[in-house]
Parts: sequence; structure tokens; C-alpha cells
Amino acid sequence: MQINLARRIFDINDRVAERLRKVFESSGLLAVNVLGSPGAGKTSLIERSLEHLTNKLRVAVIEGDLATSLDADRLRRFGVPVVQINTGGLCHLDSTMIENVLSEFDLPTLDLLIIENVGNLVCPVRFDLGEACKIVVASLPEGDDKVAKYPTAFSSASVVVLNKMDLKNALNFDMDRFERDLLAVNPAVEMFRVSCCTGIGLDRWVDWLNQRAAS
Amino acid sequence: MHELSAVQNILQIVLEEAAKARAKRITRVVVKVGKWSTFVSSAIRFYFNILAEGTPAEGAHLEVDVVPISYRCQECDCVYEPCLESSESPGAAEVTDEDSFARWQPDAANKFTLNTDATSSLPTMSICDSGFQISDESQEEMMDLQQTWRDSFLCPVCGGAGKLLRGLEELYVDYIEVENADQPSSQDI
Repeated sequence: MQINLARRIFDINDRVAERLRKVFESSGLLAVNVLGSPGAGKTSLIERSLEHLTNKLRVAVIEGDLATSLDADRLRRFGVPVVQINTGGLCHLDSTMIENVLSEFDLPTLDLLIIENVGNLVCPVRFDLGEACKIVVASLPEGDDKVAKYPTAFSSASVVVLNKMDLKNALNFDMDRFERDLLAVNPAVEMFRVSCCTGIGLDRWVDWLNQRAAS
Repeated sequence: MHELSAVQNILQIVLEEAAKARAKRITRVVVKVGKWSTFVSSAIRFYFNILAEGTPAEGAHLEVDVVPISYRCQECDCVYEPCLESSESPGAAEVTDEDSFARWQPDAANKFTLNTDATSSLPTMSICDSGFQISDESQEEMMDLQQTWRDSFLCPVCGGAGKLLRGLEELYVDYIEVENADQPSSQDI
């Protein structure tokens, strides 16, 4: 006898994520899930965004890392509520981890919740956190072939922020290849080229984030 | 990478549904996995055989169907599959020197030399020349392979840009086959 099921394997994660999405929507806040390799500049991008946004928006951050509260300590200096999740050895955040820390925030008073995922271009992609959009941070030293080699992350991103543009002249990074590969797998993506070090290009990114969170 | 937890969930779903149907044994489990879902069929099978031991799913035939990547054209609405394996061995560099192996032998000229002069803040290095050169031809060939890969994401009919339709999200138990206790077996008839 055949029993048709069509039951999702990560049903629990997906169900909790849907619940979170409703909570975020009803609180009127924009939740973003920031993905990228270790060292791409995820925390730096969040730092720079906080610098420009804290006078315009009420922002909170959830930090995901295997260990330490180094990132949370960095971000707390900007005067925003930050919760650090240490996953132990787990290479991604899941929706239950997010749900468990939400009580630390006064959600209706927030405009923007930035979730920094564990540095990894593979595993976090599959775990919905109830976010409105995924932001992938990539950087020039990683190489121009990363879209082709990690299409899963790049195809699911609403936004790609290409960081470390200040190193352009020092590296053999084919910008044209990166952008054309990205548009091939994800024609609807928004892309920002920035340097968190020098500040180049951050204004456009900050404007975008500000507009999305304010609307 | 997360196949163990995936298989734990698969088994939970399968046993739950089989119990609902009051089945004695599960004979077949069909799972659908998106090509870009990050879940690997062989690892799913490996864990399933271990975890199913001693349960009604022990010995069940597990079929893992990979859902291919497909895009829907945003212009003409047709559905197509990009050719993901187009670049067989991009970047295969042609060695221009017949005697390339000899060139690999380290010699004084291609070793780093550190300048420990205290007045210089950065160590200087000599340039390492291995003698390898990638020919223009093979460089062009590689660029062509990259372009072929990119082009395959465009609509083959009208050339329009597409949007990912299937192959990323899918991860579900499609159906199971069971030997049902409520159903009279052939011997009873």
C-alpha cells in the first residue's frame, strides 16, 4: 500500500520560521539574515551600518558564532541590544535558536533586526529564520569564482554586498565575472560594492537598508 | 552536512505515518531532495540504514530523488534546466615547457628571501618564477566555459532572464509503501 505524504523533512524549522515571520511582520520590523564566509566582513558591515543607522532606526542584532561573544562585544559599543548565540559546533542558526532569544528584545519598539549567521556559505542557506531577506556578504580576497562554486547561497540572496573593494588594485579579482555569474543565477538580486575599511559605497547600501526597514 | 538530523526527521515522519496506517512494515521510502538543498543522497542512505535498524522501517528500500535545478523565464514563462556541468575542467593550464618537472625543483632563485634589515618594516621577497605559463588559448577556452555556464541560466527559447523555480528548497518525504496490517494479505483471501 502506498501512502502519499509530501511531508517536509525540516518541518519543525520551517514551522517555527513561519511563526517568527508573522511575529516580525506584526511587530513592524524588518528581519534580515546575513550570510557569508568567515572573514568576508559580516560583522564589519553590521558595524558600519549601525554607525549610519542608529540615529534613524531602532536596531537590534542577533549574533551567531560557534564560540565567544567577540562579535556581540564589538556591536554593543554602538548602543544597540545585542544577543550572542553560541552554537557550540553547529555551523548554522536555526529558527528555534532565534525564537528562544526573542524575549530578550522589545520587538514592537524595533525597526530592524539584523541576524548574523555563522560564517559559512553552505549550511545556513537551508535554515529559514523567518527573515524578510537574505543578505550575502562576499569579499574580493575570496575570489571571483564564488558565485559559480556556491550557487545555492547566491541564488537565494535578495542582496549581495561585495566587500573589501579597497583591495581591488591589489588582487586579481575579475569583477565582470563575479557580477555576470551572479546575474546568471539570480537576475533579481541587488548588489552593492563596498569597503567597510574605507567606507566606499556604504552610503548606497545604508540607504537601501534604511528604506527597506522604514517602509 | 546535516544528513543525520535530516534522516532522524525522515524516520520520525515515516514511522509516525506507518503507525497511523497500522502498518507492520515499511517497504519503501521515497524522498525528494533539491539539487542545491545541500543534502547529499549517499549520506542520507548511509544514515537511514543505520537508524532504521530495529524499527519497522528496517530493510525498507530508500529512494532519494534529486530534484534538478530549474528556472522559469521571466519573459516567456517557459521552464528550463541550466546546464550545471558545462565546465568539465576549466582552468586546465597548458604547460608550455616540455621539461616542466625540472622547473619544479626548488633552486636558490625561487626561494623567498627575507630582508631582516631593521630599517625596513616589511620583509622583501624575491619573485618566484616557476616557469609555468597558461597559454592564451587555454585562457580563452576557460572563459568560454564560464560563459557557457552563465548562458545556460538564460531562457533557451527567448534568451530572457530566469528565476529559480525548483531545486533549492525541496526536502520532503514524498511517499512510503507499507505492508498494512488492516489490509487482508494475499494468504488470507
